[in-house]
Amino acid sequence: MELFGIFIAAAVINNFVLIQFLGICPFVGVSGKLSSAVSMGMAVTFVMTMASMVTFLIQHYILIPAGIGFLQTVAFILVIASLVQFVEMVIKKVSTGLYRALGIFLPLITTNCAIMGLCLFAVMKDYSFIQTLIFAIGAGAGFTLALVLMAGIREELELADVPETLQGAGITMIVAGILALGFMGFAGMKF
Amino acid sequence: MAKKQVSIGNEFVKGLWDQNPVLRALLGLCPVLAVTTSAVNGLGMGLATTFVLVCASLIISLARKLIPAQVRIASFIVVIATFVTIVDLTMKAKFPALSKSLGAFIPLIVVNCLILGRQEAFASKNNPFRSLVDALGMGAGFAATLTVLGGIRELLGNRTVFGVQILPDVWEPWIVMILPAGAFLTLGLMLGAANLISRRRERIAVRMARAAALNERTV
Amino acid sequence: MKITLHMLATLIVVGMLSGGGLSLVNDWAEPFIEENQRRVRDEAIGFLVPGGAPEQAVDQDGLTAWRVRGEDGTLKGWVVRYAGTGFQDTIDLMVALDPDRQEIRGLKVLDDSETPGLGTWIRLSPDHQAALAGASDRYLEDAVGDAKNFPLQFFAYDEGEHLSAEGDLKVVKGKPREQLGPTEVQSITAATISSVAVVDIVNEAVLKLDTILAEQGGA
Repeated sequence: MELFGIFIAAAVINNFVLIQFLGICPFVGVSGKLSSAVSMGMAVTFVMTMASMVTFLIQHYILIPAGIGFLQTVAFILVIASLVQFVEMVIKKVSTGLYRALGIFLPLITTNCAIMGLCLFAVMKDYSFIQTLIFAIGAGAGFTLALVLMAGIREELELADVPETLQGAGITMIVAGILALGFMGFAGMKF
Repeated sequence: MAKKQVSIGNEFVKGLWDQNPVLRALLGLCPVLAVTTSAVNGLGMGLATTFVLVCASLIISLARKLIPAQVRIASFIVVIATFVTIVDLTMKAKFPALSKSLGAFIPLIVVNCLILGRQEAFASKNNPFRSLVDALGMGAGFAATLTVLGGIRELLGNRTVFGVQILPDVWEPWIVMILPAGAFLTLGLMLGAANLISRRRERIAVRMARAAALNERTV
Repeated sequence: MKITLHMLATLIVVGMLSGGGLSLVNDWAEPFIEENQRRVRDEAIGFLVPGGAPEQAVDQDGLTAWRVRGEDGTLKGWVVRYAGTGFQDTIDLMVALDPDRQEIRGLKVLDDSETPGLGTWIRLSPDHQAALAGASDRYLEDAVGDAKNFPLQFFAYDEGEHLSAEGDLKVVKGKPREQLGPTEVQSITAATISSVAVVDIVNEAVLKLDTILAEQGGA
């Protein structure tokens, strides 16, 4: 039940994009089309899960025992950057279909603050390994949800008569604001 | 040198408006939205980011000929992360209140695409002085935008700017402005306003050019 | 081969400079950071149970408790620090208890992410702190009835009347002060969930402290 609570909290109550403002760049950049939004969401969820596990091990078995917690930011960003490269190489070798679907999004993920934010939050909240894992999957699901919702709305917006000056990023932000208002309704849920 | 050299002044000014990292280039939006619940937070975040950007740009442009292209990005990331940690530790030590309200967004400066982007696009190709001016301009543009956004949200949501009450007590605070939704709405409208202004400026520039051409013909 | 060496050398040099520099900065900053944390904690304890020196009694399962003793060694009260789920995220708070742990004598929220302007009324404002510091028996006339004064009820909900520390507090809405009992906490208007969350955390904290102390006494 506690794990389910962590999942729901990460996915909707504290939605990474709409409440915590993490991963806004891909949110604005890749939410134009539904299909690419789904792929991006999956790529991020995958990397989030991997990165949270690796950074958990690094934090608890290298940084803390060695007393060099201040190297956390440096260590985490390097791990995430190399992990993304590694995942890209593996996917390319293993499955061309998957690579075609996710490949172009992977380089974008390195500077995606959602991944880094997730790893930092998991450490701050002092989660155990299993909790970290569930937290990562929940956050990834929430990210995908926000991206897919936004993409669905933006596909409709293409046909709408948006004021000229608000076209593009402006209207995306305003729609995101309305979505964020909706997501506030999830706050206060208890498990 | 075939490329036209931009004057140093322009190198600074371009960050303020024409290439404003937030309003024109949409870079580093996460901290822009997350920490601008008040003008102080916006300014604090803007200055912290500027410090990292300026230091990293200076170091990388000094070392630009020593770093092999293959490990360019990795080296940039380490340099940026180092300065981010310095800022993080310094703020925790000397400004604990501000550090607490900015929270995880200080270490997250490391993934601000604005900083890595400037290293890749500018500091690794230009001399230290030029890179310094560019970084200062971009940082100033970023900090100014964050402060304005934070100021607007604080004014409407809490009646104050920099903690000083501006609106009278009869003004019912728009709490939504300090909530996440308010961040998106305000930034959306600011982007719209920026578009409007730059479009008007373009139109004026075109008209001026036309008038000048007409003048020449009559003379 | 030469390029590989160059790449490796670059990365090693960058890494060493970064690590070395950061350890220097960390050595400088660490004492300040620890000092800041200690000061925040000691100030909160000193405010909740004035005129004594805290000694840590319990640090177990996320609960920390201090005995506060006066100069002559008499027990002046207890302070318990505990955290739980709030409206948006974790609420971290301190509860003060009388020496017998029968009554609640104070409450201070240290960290929360409640809704600004609604749920954030669970915090003690600077005005509250100033008023309480001068109040006899820490009772303020308007402790009940105004949403902004929610935390004052935990100091004294009526003249000389304190809330129970049996873990049986519950939230009520809109009851006049004369009818309130020692287990009833008046909710913040439009922030019931935040009020309930605080009361739940307080209940859980006092019950948990009882269990831990019973175990310690038994062992």
